[in-house]
Amino acid sequence: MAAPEPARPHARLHLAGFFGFGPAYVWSEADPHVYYDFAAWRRLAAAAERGLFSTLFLGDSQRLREHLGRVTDHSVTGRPDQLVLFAHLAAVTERIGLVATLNTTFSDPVDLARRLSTVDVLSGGRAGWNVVTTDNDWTGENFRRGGDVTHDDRYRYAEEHLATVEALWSAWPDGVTAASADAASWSVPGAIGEVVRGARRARPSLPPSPQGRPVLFQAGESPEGREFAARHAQGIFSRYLRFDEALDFATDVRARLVRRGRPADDVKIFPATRVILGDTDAEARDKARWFRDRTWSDRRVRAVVEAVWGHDLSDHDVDGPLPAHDPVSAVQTITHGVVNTSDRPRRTAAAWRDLAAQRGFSMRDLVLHLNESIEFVGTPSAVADELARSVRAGAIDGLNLQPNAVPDGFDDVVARLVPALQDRGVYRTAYEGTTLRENLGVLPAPTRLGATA
Amino acid sequence: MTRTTGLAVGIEIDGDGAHPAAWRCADHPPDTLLTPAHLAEMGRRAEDAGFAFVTLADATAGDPGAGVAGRFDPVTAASFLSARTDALGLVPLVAAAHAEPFHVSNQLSGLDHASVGRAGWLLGTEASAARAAAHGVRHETDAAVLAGEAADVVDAARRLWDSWQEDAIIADEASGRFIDADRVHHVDFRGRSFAIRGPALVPRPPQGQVPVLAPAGTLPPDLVDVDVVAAPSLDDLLGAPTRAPRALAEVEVVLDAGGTPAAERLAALNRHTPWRPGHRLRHVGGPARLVGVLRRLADRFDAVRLIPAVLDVDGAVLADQVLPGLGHHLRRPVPGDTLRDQLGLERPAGRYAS
Repeated sequence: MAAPEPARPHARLHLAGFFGFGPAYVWSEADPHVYYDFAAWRRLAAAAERGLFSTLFLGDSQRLREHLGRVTDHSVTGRPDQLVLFAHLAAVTERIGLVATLNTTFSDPVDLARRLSTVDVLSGGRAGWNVVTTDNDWTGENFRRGGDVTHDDRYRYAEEHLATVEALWSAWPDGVTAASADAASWSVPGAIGEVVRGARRARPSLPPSPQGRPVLFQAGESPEGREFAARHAQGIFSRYLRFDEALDFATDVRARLVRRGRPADDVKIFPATRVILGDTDAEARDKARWFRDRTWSDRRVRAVVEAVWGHDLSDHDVDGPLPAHDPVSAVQTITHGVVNTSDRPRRTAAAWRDLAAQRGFSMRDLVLHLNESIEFVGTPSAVADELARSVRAGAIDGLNLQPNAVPDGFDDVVARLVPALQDRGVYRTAYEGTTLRENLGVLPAPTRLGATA
Repeated sequence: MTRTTGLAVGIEIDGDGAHPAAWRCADHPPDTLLTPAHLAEMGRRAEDAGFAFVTLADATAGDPGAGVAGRFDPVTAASFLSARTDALGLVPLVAAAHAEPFHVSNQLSGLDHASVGRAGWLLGTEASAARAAAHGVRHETDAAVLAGEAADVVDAARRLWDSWQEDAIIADEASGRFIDADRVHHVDFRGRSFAIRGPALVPRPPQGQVPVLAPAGTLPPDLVDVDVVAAPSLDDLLGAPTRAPRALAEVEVVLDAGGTPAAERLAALNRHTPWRPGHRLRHVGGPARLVGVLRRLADRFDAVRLIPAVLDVDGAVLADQVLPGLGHHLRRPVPGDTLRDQLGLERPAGRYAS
């Protein structure tokens, strides 16, 4: 058990604006086409920047989720290509970071390095890459190379992918492009390197951005994930929000950084959550309940159970008990791309029945219970007090904040929570710099450490 | 299909111009080329001048020699410009060889959503040795194989664009359905070298189908909206056969500028690095004569793509003298136009439309 971090009286909270893939917005309250409208994204980004958020963050999915063999229909689904969206937003924002989740399995490193560099340069040094890898054959059905990577190979493939990307980002040094049209050549001859890895011979497409190269993020709590973060990342998207768990996780990660010779605060940890504010505690709770009831429609509740039972349960009342019969495990269930061929559905169903019997749960009660997430619900001052405590204790560095609505889902946080945090001295009153590295408060890119030491 | 009135004039904005020594005559230093301010300025100038669209060339970085060593990813750069322009068509070059077609399709439909209908796809059908090396794969040179691959990539992308029916989003509170799953389709495309299950990640693009501009004669005509024609002489251009609904002619331009005749400017540039004539018509001369050439092309073509030797120099003459000189022969875009509007292409119904 690690010792608690010393208190951080001057620590400040970072906010990330998170757009998940297919999240459960209350879509009945908005124009349904707003989720694909770039004007709505511009408005969300502008609100987040007005609220001095450190970054925007997009999740990744390269195949629409499916339920019982058809595209999932109960929630908003699909989203534009992340870097197309971020290049657009780079043109209308000034300071906020743009962190994309990009999969090593379904992209070529040369293409990825170049597209991400383009966003980094065009944003003036505000791009980030949340590195993910997968062996999901189901998603691979959309790709040339998708199905080829076996589970054991994917980490090796991911390491090689990242190494190639980083080599390309290092191959164009600072200051080698001519400062005058009278120069003998456009760039210093031989200064821009060629990256040779295996059969590849590639050159970088762009000079370093003002932050050198994109920052790296990592999401995942496994020991391998933590080590990856300690070696490479400046940011972590986590799920740990309960104070003790969050502090344990952060303490472990920071110790790993120190073991790797990095400053303990060179990585920022962002657990995902929502914030729901009210003038009174009761009002905030009412809003949270309304939001939960509206996003968990009968259809969505039933879909969670159907995914285990493996077939249509529309003749079952979601306010009644779980189905009495066993799951049809002979039939493959496809939900979120996970194919259940084992006896797992039967075991899950048995566990759910036990829990429902103990607690007197209906289908709906059970599903809501299983999907309970930690959210900050209360008055702005109460939420700000709680967040200030967590940040100063070192349990979290930031929040990865999901908007409750599009396009105005950050407005409440910006107008009410941010000032409360600022009053407590736990939130910036202006951006520290122009790049994501500067605004995250992490070290300059490795290629520039020597220059700034 | 009715023919649009006037010529849609596009301009290539890659680097400092098509001449390999163009950077030496640019009105900015080399180290400001690959910056957001410069890219935004190129978009603003093209829009202000009345160009219908910009094209953004592509090539995998090779040994730069003395020339420009860098380039933005064209689709990503076009998306940046979508937020800084209101009427300009945005047409990145995307090569089919080695592309991941699912990404290409989603990126181009994303660009169409970003620009609210101003995206186009200038299809690259050749394979580059540098790109093959960058991917660590064999350099394919067989023209038939490359043409087959290009046809597959375009076909797959088009099927994906149609995979969400226009009326797929129903937001029906009573049934709890945001979309009607019967109106979002797996495409189950099987090509020669890849397969795609689908559906696309976003609803049908605003133009229905992003217009595909492809070298004339390389793809089955039903996959192409605009045949791109290159020929070394005006007569060859005017006589070239095309089969797609619309046709575009490519012209390289070196113009008289700042009191210096075009031929002298070209000779001076060529002393640094030679720019050998290729397969395209190259106009080296005065702006008035270019206006005459473009008027003749307007009788036969719906659009032209001008490829200036030096963007800052030839682009300025195009804006100040050539486009105004075209008068009613020029189709000037207005905000709200889609690229299909510019090119006189109808918005197609989706293949899954019920």
